Amino acid sequence: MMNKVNWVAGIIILLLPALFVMKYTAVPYPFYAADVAVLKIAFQHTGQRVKEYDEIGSLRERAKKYREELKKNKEIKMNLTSKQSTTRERFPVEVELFIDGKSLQKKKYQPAGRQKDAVSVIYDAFEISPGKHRVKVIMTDSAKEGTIPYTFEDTVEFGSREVKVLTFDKVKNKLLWSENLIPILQRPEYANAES
Amino acid sequence: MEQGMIMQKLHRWWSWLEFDMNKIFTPRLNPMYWFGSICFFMTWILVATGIYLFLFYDISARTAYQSVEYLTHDQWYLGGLLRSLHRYASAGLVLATVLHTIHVFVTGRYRYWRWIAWVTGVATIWFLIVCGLFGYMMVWDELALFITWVSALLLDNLPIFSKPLSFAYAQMPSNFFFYIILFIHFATPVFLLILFMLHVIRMRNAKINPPKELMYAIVAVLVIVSLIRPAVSGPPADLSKLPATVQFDWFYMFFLPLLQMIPVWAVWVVLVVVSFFITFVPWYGKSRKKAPAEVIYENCTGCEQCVKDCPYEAVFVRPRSDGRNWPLEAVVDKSRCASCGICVGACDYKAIDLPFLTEADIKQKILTISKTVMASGDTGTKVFVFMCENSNPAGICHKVECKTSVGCLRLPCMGMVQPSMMAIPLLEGFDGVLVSGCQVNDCHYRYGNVHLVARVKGERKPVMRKNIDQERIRFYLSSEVQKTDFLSEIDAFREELRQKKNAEKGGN
Repeated sequence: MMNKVNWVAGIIILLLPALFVMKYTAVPYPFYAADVAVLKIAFQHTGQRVKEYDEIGSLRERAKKYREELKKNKEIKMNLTSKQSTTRERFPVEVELFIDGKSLQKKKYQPAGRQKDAVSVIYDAFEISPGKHRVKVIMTDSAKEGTIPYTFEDTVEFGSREVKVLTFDKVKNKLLWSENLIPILQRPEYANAES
Repeated sequence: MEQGMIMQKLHRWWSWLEFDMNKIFTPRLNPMYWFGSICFFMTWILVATGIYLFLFYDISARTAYQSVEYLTHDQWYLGGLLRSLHRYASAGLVLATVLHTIHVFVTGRYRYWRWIAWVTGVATIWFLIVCGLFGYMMVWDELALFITWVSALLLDNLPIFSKPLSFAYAQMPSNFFFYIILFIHFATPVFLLILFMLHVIRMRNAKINPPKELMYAIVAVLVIVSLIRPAVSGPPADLSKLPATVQFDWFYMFFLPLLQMIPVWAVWVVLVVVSFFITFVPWYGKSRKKAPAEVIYENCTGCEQCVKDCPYEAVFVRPRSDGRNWPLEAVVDKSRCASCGICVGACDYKAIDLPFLTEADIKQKILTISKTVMASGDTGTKVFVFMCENSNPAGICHKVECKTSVGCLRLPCMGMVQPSMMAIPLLEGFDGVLVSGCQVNDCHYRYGNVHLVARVKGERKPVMRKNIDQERIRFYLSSEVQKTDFLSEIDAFREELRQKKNAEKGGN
């Protein structure tokens, strides 16, 4: 049987690992260096079709053929997954990033999907030094001659450990800095409106 | 230094620590014998506190942080306290798991028939870490954002996702993200419980809960720590900033600093190599597994006592295959058999034996030793000592035998001793029998010491003959580092027996 002294000693001994746990569950750790800022390019964009392809028109035409065939042979089935005569393939999206006039990266982002007909996901993160930088991005979604690329250019101040995200606004149809980095309720304008 | 030597030293240091802790806690409550059960207990605390926290948690990017803040500050007396308990119990779980692993490793209790427990234990650690990291993400503060980013960075390095996960967390994630976090944080404990079940699947009467007193003490200590330093959130997640410092939880994030030192793919290599290395520890080195127990079918009555006593569920019964009268017969699963001999101690019918040390061998040895001691002509009080190999190093038997009038026999486990074996030296003229085995709650084969004590007390079959004077039997349960005390214990026991004998003579 444990006596009172042992109970007190026991609790003290059990407190030691507990204090160890308390200390090492929250230790300030400098993971990111102060002399770093990050520029992220993050958006989804569909490249243009490699060949012009009227998807609805094609479906209508096939449905018409199907109806005609159905009149002749009642057991025929409409096969929507059969290989189509016209390709649905899209061009990859090419993004070139210039920082202070120097090309940092030029990269093609392939469209998703088995037939390469879906959206291209553009994501890359670049560590840059804090300070004022001239950022220029040229995005091309077609390899056809005469395609006008999307261009973004801005001189912007990067603070220490600041993250800026360049995204593509589908409504405005242009590249711009993302403002969707903080939940609405925590944004200063919301907080001010509340007060 | 040879590997075996290092292990022996580690074992001795650990045993010394246990010995010192026994002085304070008593062997019954010594937490060093209960690390595995403490892991279970911490899990129950986590489940209970987690359910309450979930009731107030808002699953949305907009309000997740606020809901946790509400619990922490507005409801500090309950929600805040439970959040702190949840945090500290989760770290305590990792600590207890690590200590349990060290205990198992230094005592060599991870090889052969124990491999399932070891492998599931290693898997448990990784599930635990995943569960913990996702728990931190739920708060959606600076630390959560950091964990989300680095986890995405790690996972993007594997060719399993069609689009980079980092893309999803470059801007404010949708509510769907929080549902995924919640799902993983809830699903991993389910896998953990399955792993826990597999961990103890080959153990009969696995100790799931520590003693009540220890549970109360653990809760008290966790509450004290929660009140001293309540768990709080950092600033809300802000995707436009890399946090200057993150409040690192070293119990769950110990491997993340590797990302600062080596490329992401190399971090994976390190994690996979280390995990595999640890997982396959039971198969390293030369196998010294002894031959498994064998059933002697002509004697087996199918009484199932060996099934009840086997600590690793290596013995089971099946319908009789040899046409004898009894309906059942025992079978030994060789892969699970620890060759501890507990089944031999449990069998009153000479129906199960270790091939390298049969019941007949043991009884013959007892007789031979007894006759040798008796023939020595010494008139002192005579004691026969049964020793378990695991708590008594080989040299100690020699030291014991140096004492005149003492016979000594080492066996794989105390549980191998049958009460009828203990009766032999007493009938041959010894004054007493001393059985030295592993400490309470720390039997190398789990229950050998407990079973023998129960047999002698008449609480477990096969029971001790009633005409044997129980006062002439003494148990000395200790770890190997207590052997100096053991030698004096023999002397003290002999002195007691001598006085008893004198008193009896005087009475007559």
